[in-house]
Amino acid sequence: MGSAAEIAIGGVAATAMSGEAGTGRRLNGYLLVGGIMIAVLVLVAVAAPLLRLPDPNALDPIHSLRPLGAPGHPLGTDQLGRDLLSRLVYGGRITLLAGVVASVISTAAGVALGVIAGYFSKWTDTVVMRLLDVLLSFPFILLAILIVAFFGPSTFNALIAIAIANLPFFARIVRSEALKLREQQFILAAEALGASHFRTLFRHILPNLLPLVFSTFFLNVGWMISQTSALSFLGLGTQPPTADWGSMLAEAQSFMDILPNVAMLPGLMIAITVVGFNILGLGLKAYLLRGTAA
Amino acid sequence: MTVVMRVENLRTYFHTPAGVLRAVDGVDLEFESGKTVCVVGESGSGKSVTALSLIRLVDEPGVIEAGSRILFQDRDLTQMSEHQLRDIRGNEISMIFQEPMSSLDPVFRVGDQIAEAIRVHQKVSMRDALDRAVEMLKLVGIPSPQQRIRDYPHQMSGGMRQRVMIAMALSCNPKLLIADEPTTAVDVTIQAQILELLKVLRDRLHMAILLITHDLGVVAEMADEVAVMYAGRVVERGPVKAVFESPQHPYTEALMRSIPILGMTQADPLHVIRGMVPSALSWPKGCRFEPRCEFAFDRCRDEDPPTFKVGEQESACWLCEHGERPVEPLRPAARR
Repeated sequence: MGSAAEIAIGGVAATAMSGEAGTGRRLNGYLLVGGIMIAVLVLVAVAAPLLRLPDPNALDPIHSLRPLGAPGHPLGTDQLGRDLLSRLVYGGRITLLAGVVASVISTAAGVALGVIAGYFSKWTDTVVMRLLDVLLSFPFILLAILIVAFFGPSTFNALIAIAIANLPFFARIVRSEALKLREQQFILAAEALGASHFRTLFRHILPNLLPLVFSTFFLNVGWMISQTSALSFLGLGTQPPTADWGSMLAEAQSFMDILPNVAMLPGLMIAITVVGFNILGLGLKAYLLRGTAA
Repeated sequence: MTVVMRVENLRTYFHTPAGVLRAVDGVDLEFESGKTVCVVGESGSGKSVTALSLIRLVDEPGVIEAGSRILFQDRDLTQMSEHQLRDIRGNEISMIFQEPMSSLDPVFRVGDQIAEAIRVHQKVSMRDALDRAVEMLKLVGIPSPQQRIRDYPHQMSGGMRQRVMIAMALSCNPKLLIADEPTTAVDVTIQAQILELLKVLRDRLHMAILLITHDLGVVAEMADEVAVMYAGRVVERGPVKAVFESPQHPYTEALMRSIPILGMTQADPLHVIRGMVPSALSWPKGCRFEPRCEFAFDRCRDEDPPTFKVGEQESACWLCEHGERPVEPLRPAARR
């Protein structure tokens, strides 16, 4: 990703500087805070096997519903005596991965469709965008449920469903940006010098969209995590006994009044993660798109 | 001198919901290698659409109407496929634009952009293309080109970027360079440098130049031949000296009288052309300049004047039907 990012950053510096001279881009608070939050979460998720946590699925009914700080279980246990810390960490791996993968899929497909629609416009635009409008016309969660109901509940199907349901939002953002870029003089200049559509699209339009794509991607991950969690909560995502934050939340509802932290901990984790990604996305947006109209 | 391109009866119409917009409506032009043709006219006269039409880059809803001919070395561009056109654009016919600030892609280094322009048309390695880019930057007078090819466009001034654009446009030795108001967005000193550069390169590379401008000063500086456009047509055409000395079309004359002359005071009235360019949706029935013309008579209202040959010039005015139209000296202020 190194060279692509480098290109993109060069570009945004250019647009930023054509307005005001001599201002480079600076780290901002959002980027710092969001970055640290997400870095910690990702680090823990990746390093989970090295943390010597107990098996997240090991049952121990005798020690069920232990409170915070119980011996051997720093965050207590759930209704089946499974270690909550371990389940949160391993559940986090699945939740984060599902969010990121769903975001990658919807970003990739959304960028492709949006760029094609925006650049070629005319009937291509009409066909692509009206098809996406059909997707948009379903309530978002209903569409996801429909897809999962069709293919059966699993983590993978849930994330595919979320990705598809989100595709139109991404495609729309990218399309409007591509429409704007298309009218730029350097696009006309490229065509005047013999560039083909293909070349114009991949050499000029796409690289100029990268900053927008990056920042929107991270904004999207948070949204995707809350959505895949919602599907899991509804029993349409990750299946038991595998932990993910959404299904943990669902299982814990009935024990809320006995031991609230069984439900509150996964809920808190979802909230922290979503907020973290949103802050990071905002920070990236401010960082990458400084001085541009977007 | 060999004729590089001949444009016959070029008509570019825009089919809009409001009606057919006849932006370019019957333009004839001819370009010879080593010569510069300037097309002048006010905003909306169809200059830029003419330029874009010549390389078939007019976007929908613009259409080059049947019957228009754009003969480039005996090949008719209006009959070519998009693929054939791509081989010609940037290779045999190149174009530069008004805004040097936005003509370069902000995300790539200028060297890469010039190299890309070369590699679109020639099968050369990236290294060779970059070497050629350095050569081109040297040619357009950019100091230390070896370092400069690594610059991003935002690191360059407007004048430099226009030079880079020129380098890109000329990297494949085109036979015709179309320059659409290349100096409008830069200040006068840079303008003079860019124009001088174009002149030198034209002679050196022996290419034809079509220079679009609304600045008669630029015309006087650059042109061998000038074509004055009004309302989608060329109303007067001829060698620059003849046209400046004795403008045969009243529009050309009015344009020239509108230029302030050094030594004028506020007491001296400056000529103005009454009214506005009519709408391209409905040009006047007769002569299109008639509603604004000081010399108009009945016939102008009803009959569209054809082009009359007057000496070396051509003029589309009924007053030129029987030869040269007497024109008062253009510079009465000289009496002071």
